[in-house]
Amino acid sequence: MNWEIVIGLETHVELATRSKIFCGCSTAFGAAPNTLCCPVCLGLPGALPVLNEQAVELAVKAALALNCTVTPVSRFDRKNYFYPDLPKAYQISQLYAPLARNGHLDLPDGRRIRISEMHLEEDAGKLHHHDDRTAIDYNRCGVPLIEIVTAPDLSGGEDAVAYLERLRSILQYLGVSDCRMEEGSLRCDVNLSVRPAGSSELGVRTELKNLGSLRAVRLACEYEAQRQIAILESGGQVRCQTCRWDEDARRTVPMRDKEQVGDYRYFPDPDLPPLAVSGEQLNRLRSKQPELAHEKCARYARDWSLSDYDCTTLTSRRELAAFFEQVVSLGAPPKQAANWIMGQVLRRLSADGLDVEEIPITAQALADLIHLVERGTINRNTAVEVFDAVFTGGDPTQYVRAHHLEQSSNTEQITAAVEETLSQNRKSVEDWLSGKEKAAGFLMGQAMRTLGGKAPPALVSEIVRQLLEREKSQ
Amino acid sequence: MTINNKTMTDLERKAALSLTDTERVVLTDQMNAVLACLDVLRACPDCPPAEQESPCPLRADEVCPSTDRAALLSNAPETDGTFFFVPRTVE
Ligand SMILES: [Zn+2]
Repeated sequence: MNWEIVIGLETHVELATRSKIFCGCSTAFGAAPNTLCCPVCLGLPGALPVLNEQAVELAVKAALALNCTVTPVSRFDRKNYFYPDLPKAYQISQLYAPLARNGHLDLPDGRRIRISEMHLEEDAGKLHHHDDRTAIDYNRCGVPLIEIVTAPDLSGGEDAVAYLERLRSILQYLGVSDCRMEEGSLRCDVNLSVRPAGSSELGVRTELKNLGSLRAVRLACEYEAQRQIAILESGGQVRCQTCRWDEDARRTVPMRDKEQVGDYRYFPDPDLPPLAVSGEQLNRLRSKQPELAHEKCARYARDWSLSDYDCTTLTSRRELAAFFEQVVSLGAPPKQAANWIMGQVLRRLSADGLDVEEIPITAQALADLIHLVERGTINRNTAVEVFDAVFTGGDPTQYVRAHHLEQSSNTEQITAAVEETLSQNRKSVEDWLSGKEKAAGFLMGQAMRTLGGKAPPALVSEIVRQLLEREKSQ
Repeated sequence: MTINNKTMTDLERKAALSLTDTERVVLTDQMNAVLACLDVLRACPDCPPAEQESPCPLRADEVCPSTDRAALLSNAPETDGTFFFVPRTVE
């Protein structure tokens, strides 16, 4: 039988606020355990939550970019469960009136993935299990999260990864989150079921947790789909369970029967009044929405005829796209700017262990360098040398002048150098005259050497040809 | 909505009750009183008008000093001065 895989994703994203969602504790990553806590985030008696306005603003920005309808008045509910990562024994979340609903995200291939809802909630603490006891760090407790829930519109591990990559790009461009999976600021749970191809009914699903990377998401989806298919084909039934992805064993391990919404005994949080988002606020945020990666991609291709590959690479990070646009705005031809950034800039960043947020060379310096090549002041090889010299600071024009790197376009000087080369390499000249075309290339290389590399290669090549042709006619 | 004699007979049958005439009068009155309360509640605006300021107070996104860890851990059932410890709990 042919099977169809049906996947829905629940993605938790930590919002890039300075302070937690309901108290003033810092959200910094990597602080000493339990040093970013207070009575509010530890749920001590009498402490009351006060909502962080920036968390609301970032969540609304995300909702708008995901084409959601923002609920004019949303509410907070308590999700009750007893586990030591949650000192209050409930998580403040939104169930009955979530912040936003009915959005969508378009995959690069154009398929539309529906987003059923998006809500605000607080993160839980982090547990470290030892042999005999569990250690708890509550620093993460109360960090603002949005949970983004899709409809079951994805049909495999590759799809899930494509969705997450696009979601990550959107949220990073908006500055809503840094979306670092390795630091846990983007976490994803997968709901997966299988059904006979063509069937419209959904099968029994399992929920997959502990997916620490995009690769883990893909592998877990593939593994779990095969596991369910094997059960169904041998006449068994899939149980509605929560499974953990075991990265080392590369398999999913059932943890417990999946909770139903009733298990959490949700009820409205009496400590938090309803949250109203006004139309005026929505308009203000809508007007501030930046151009997103896929929109930039389309513009680069349309306006500057850059290839798909160039567009995708340049817009992979907001900072890289901004740097590229700055270089172009300073007059560099877009294709040249793209080549320099994707070639030399990325090469040096990687060699120096730097992130694209930390590009040391200024857009002005790179644009100047490109102009120096365009005008023929230096050739490409020299330009790479200059680039390396000024990458961490410096002015290319000054550097070229100080090191006498200008190439000569003085025809007389070049002609003299070529004549000298031909007279010193008679064997190659004879070879060329007897029809060995490659000899011209060798002579060209020798002439460039005589000139110290400081002449436009096209001009040198032309003069080599002229002089060889002259020898032939003599 | 109000509870009339017909609704009452219906409810009596569904709840498998047999009411005396007196009980029937008392319960009808009581139920109508409860429903009248619901009408009062229904008249309250459920949500503030969209353009009104949010009833939820908001705070600026500013970091305040957290509580001293030693003080927080003094409530812990067990600690090493860094972590809270509880019996091993693995899901
Ligand atoms: Zn706190």
